[in-house]
Amino acid sequence: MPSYLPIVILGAIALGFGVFVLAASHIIGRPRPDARKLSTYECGMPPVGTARERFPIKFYLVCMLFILFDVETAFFYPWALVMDTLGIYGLMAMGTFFLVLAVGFVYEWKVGAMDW
Amino acid sequence: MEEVLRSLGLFKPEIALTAGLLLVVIVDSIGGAWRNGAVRILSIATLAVALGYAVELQVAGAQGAIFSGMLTVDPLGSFFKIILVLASLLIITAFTFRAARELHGLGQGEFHALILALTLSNLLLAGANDIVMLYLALEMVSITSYVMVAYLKGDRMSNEASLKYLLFGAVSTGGMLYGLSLLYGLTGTTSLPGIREVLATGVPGPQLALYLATLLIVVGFGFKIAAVPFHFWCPDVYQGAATPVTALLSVAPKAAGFGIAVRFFFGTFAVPVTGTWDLSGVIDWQLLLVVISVATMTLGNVAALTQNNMKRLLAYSSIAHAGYILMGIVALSDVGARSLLIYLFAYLFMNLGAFLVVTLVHLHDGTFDLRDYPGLYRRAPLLTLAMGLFMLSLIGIPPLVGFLGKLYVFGAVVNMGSGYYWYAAVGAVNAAIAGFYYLRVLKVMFIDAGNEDKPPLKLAFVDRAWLLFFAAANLLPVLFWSRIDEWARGAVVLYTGR
Amino acid sequence: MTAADYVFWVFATATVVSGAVVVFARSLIYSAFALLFTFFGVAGLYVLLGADFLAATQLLIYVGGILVLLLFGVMLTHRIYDLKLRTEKTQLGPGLIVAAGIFIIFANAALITEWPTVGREPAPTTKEIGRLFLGEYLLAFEAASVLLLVALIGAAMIVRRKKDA
Repeated sequence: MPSYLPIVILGAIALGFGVFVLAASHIIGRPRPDARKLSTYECGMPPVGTARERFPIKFYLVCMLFILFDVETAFFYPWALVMDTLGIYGLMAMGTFFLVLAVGFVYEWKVGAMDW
Repeated sequence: MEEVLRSLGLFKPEIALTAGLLLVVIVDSIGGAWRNGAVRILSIATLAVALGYAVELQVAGAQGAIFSGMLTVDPLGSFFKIILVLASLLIITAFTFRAARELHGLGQGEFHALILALTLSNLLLAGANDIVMLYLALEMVSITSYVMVAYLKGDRMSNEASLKYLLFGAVSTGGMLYGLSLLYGLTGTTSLPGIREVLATGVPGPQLALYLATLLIVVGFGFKIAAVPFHFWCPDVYQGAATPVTALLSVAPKAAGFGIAVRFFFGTFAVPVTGTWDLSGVIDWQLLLVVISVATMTLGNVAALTQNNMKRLLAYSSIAHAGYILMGIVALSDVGARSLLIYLFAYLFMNLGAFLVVTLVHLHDGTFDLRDYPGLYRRAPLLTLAMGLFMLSLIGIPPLVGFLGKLYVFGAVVNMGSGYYWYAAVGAVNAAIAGFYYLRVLKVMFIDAGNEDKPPLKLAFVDRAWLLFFAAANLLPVLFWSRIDEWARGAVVLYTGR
Repeated sequence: MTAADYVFWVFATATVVSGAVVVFARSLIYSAFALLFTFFGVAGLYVLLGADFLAATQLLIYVGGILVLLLFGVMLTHRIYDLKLRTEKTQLGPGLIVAAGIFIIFANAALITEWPTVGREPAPTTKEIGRLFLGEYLLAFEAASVLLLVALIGAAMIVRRKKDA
């Protein structure tokens, strides 16, 4: 089993940093709240309406396309690790895979799924 | 590399479909005003070429495993390929966008692309020889079907049907995937022949996991062929989808499901020591399948009695027919497999014919309701006569093609011995129940009064021609039946190697 | 217990508890966020099983994609925040009995079966998967691209507004 220690350490550092920053500001900070500080934003536009707005459906389509191309990328990783040993055959196999998806990409582009 | 090149030679129908699919998508993307006509011609050409290649495989009697054992090519698979490609071809040619009122104003490119993709997936499913390929192909068929059911975008019922189908399909195929993973865990291989070899020597220890695996896999197949109790999606989906889609779904994925079921049960669980068709004794297969089959045909027929929507009626009727076709699997013999092939062949023509009539009535009258059908005989004699023929064929009246299908499946069951006479009797009683609602359609069209004020239906020439074609396809096969029998007999060859 | 056992129990608990939150939460938003932890827990279990590529893919696709899609789905829906889901009371008794029955049967099957084992430690899988994709499972690999193409077409077709013919 490969060692996951580096990942565990990375995760621990990330988590620890977040906890540390929050804890440190809590301990050494001196909270003196006033009305201005407690307002939602200290600068910029005053917020209008609720944050829980409905999103346009366009986001949904973009997200679905993202997932599909994400899955496609997932197929590329294993291939990338072995492509040097397979030569032209590996290239053709991936070429076929990619061609089919490229057609899908052209389709998405032309029907305007990516227009905003 | 050599394996791939060798395989491609036996993979021509699928290659043709893939190439056609890509071309259709490209033409639809970049084409101008002419693209609707172009994709239609392209799709018909693609399916015709694929049909040619499938027939070529069948005639050559090609056998073998291709792509490192992912797929098998054998006469049985080629028979299914012919039926599957033919079904799609008939849908595209007979159920045009002009004839289907629901599809008016919708884009044609996606429709044809989806039909080609569905055909490709069906072929892969019917030939799968490895559980990875089996599951992938099953998902391809399912996902393509979900999208096709939702094709009527503005229509609430179409969307609802697609969602129901999706949820039901996700649970069923998820259960099946669990079963397949148990099977892999037990045998350590994904290849169906490999699994058979391991199962033939027996699984050591408790058999519970094997029972579970097989039951869960039956769930997946049951969903695909809409067998009770996995049929709940069927009426809503058939009603909500556009009629051409319904017609296709009622035939093609069902046939592919039966194709892979035959391959899976006979190819994986058959113990070669004791004969080709003997299944390993872990589960009383016949009892399980008999129960499913009886429940399927009975529920389908009884529920169809009270339907007034023609699409729902035909949906329940198609559930019942799945029960009859299962009789061919239950028989677990060459005779049974042959009867299954013949029934599917007959079912293709009688069911598509009935759906074509429903489509045409909707085109002219805008209704799917049986209560709007009175007086149809006076308004459209040819259409009504054709519908009468299809209904009689669905009941199984001689000498129509539906009778021949029933004759074979009942014959296969009776062949099993006197212990199964009751099963054949249940089938006969069911055929009688089915007679009620099919004849009710006839009575409404021919005898009932009504719609006197409506003008006669003006059928287009092409539609008349297709009605005649389907009528002939139901009427004429009996004349050269020995040929068809011979063909089906020769097709019952299952390649079970790696 | 070894260290790996402890890690397993941490991940298993996280998966099951957050899964329960997904099912029982009254707000869809809470369910969606609890799903994040379920996905993470499952990824952790994959790691423990030696399926490193699968774990990475799980994070990449489920956490990175599907979860965001679900959240969009919740946010797209009109007045979904006011929707109170009645999840806890409906059919509690029969549901529990069925779930418990299924659990007992499946757990039993997993425990009593004499599973064949290969008797070696799991090795890194990504390269092996690549080799198999381009060798034995080449057809499945290529078929997956057709499946993705169909999904692309379907996604665009369903979401887009009614298109002119």
